[in-house]
Amino acid sequence: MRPKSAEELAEAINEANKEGRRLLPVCKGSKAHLGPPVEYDEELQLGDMPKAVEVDEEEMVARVSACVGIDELQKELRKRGRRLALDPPLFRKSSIGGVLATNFYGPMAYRYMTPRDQLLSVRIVTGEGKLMKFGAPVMKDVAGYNIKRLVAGSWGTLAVIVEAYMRIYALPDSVAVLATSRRPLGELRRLRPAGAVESDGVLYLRFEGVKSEVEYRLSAAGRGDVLYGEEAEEKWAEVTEAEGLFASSRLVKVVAPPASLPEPPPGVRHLRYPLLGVMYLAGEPPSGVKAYWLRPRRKWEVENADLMAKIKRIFDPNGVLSPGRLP
Amino acid sequence: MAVHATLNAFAKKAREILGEGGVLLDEVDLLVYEQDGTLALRGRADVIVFPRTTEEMAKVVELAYNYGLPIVGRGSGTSLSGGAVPVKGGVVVSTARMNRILEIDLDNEVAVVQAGVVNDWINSYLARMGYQYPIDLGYQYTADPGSQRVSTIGGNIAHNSGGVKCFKYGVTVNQLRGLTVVLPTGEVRRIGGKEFEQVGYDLIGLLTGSEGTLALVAEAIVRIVPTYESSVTILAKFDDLSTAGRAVSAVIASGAMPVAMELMDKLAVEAVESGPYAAGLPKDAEAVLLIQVEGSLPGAKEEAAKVAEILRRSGAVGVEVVEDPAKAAKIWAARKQAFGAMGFVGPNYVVEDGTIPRKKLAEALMLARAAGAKRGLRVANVFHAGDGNLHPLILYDERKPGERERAIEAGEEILEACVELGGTITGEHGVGYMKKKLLPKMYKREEIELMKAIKAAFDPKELMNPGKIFP
Repeated sequence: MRPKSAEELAEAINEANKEGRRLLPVCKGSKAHLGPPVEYDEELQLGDMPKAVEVDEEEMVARVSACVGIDELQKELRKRGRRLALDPPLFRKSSIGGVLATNFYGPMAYRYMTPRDQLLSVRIVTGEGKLMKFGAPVMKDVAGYNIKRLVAGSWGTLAVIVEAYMRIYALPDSVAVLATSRRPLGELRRLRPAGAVESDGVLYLRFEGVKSEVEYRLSAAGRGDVLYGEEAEEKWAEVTEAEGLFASSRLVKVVAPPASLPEPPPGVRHLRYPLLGVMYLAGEPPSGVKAYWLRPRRKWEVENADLMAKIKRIFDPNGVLSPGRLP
Repeated sequence: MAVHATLNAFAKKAREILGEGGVLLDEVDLLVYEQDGTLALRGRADVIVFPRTTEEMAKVVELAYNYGLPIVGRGSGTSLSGGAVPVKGGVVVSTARMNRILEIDLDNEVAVVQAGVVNDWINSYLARMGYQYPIDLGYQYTADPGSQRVSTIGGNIAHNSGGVKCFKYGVTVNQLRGLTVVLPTGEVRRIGGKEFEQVGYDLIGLLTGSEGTLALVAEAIVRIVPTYESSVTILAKFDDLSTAGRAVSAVIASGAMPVAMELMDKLAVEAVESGPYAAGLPKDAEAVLLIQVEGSLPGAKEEAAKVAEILRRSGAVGVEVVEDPAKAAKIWAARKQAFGAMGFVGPNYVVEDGTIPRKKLAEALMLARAAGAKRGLRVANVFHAGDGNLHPLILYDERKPGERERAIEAGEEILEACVELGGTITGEHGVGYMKKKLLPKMYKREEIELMKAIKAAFDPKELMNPGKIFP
């Protein structure tokens, strides 16, 4: 199935409901085959859907179609002195829809939070085939239930995202990335980075702001290799992208209160967000932590699954969207 | 069973759970709980209960559920949308005795609190910790509604409250790591914990801002954020509101990351400056803009200088950089007391809470003034400028027949205009009772039906804060 418009998408999902066909929505497909197992009859290919990008530089809001490549969007924004403050793994291979559907975030979430938090409004087709819109393209909105937050991170099990209004940010005056030795958590926090990520035994710290702010933080952070501007962005993208790690045949995400995030097992490739208490590992997770397998596919242990199942039935009563993934 | 007998039976059993002093039933006591911060609305509860723990809250909710009585949560009752008013009677569950900070976990940068903890207590506690055990990294809780010295975390969660710092730090929902809630049946659920992420559907996101219509919040795990070494306040005067609005956009577009950006119009400044929180704000300006930036000592200074320069270039007629923390604190306290200070310019007010795209600011404020003026009412404006959240305060005198109704009508007209300008009917105060008939301006029938289906899944007997949100 390859719908070409929101209306065709709604129609396709309506038909799937009638025929009992189970669908897996896919834009660029970087995460379509990661995460908990899914039973489906057909991929719902969204690549032919319209790809609109409308940037309101003054309001700091961008309207984006779901299958627009997030890297393309970032480049378009940078030309205008703006950006998405997001740095999830597989960034360059992802669509905005895919990042929202999985709520994939990177180390900058320590300051800027997750895609779900930056989502202002979303247009969706529900599992029942209904075209709906939730939220408003403004920074604050509490009218009715916060449905957009349910959709973000639902891994395509509630609705297919058609279009999103995202909060965007101005480019800071100065950006620096410091590659340095790993630090204890307390010391790391005192350095006040915008994000921190560990990969292969190296700690990368990102500093942003006016020039004297960045210089002050760098001098407090001590020895290491410093990159600025374009070079800093390039390095940061390369590390947070984690393309090599995400190509591993075994990949698991570990989530813990930050102070009890375990060390990576020796010799295992990893990407670790120490400030957030999150780590991706190319191997078996340490015991006693919450672990969510991305590859091979394994069912996730989800708390309050009964409440989530009720929500799933409301959006997708016949279970046509990505069945099995969540709850 | 007759209504009276049901209530007596409920009260008797509630006393067994909560003790003699944990249940109020007398007419004179009920009177106190008729209203919240929404001056234009009243509703009489049948009984008020005061649980002390999650378990007591669960038991008393279960009891009310079994008797089929409406269940209305109440913190400090500062809701501005009628959220805590028992419009259909029933049991008001007060969190006044669930007021303990259970844990401050600096290692994981979270605080664990009972629902009835007053927002500002968390910061007071953190400040005291810094004093008693010199921790070299100070912490703060950053969701700071204007009511924070009074309003509770439970109420903040129910309304997904904003505040002045949310331009940088987000609103209440962005601060939550975990919730303990009581479902209508009395079942206790723990959602999330001290981890940054909870997999699966965002139940915390759904419950936050659901205004007590799905479940009651008993405890919360909130993130606390390290404070910076320095913060600087910039105060700017403008001759007209639209120039001020454009200056706000220019500051944001510069890449500066202010913590807060607040705009007050002349009437709002006059009110504040007439009261005990007067901070020397300029009374001769059409608009006063307050901005706070933070960072290292040199960083905050440079950012403040940059912001000040942008403001001058954008047409401010006076810009003052306030580095003295005591003076800055006074200025921000003045802003936060703006609603309370309205008494100095008018006896009663209706406060609205629309959000609009920032560039429509001048237009929206003109519309707000006009909506008041044509009904013979004055409108003061305070405004979270960074995020486009308007708070027109429509002044009226309830002793004058018809003024209250006209004020409500003017408010509705302003909110409808906000939606037409591309915004929303409520940015941070909630739909509650006051704005429920405006919800269809935002959402079509099917979208509202989906929300109601979620409501029905949580609360099939429709006992949780009935008469709210949905038209």
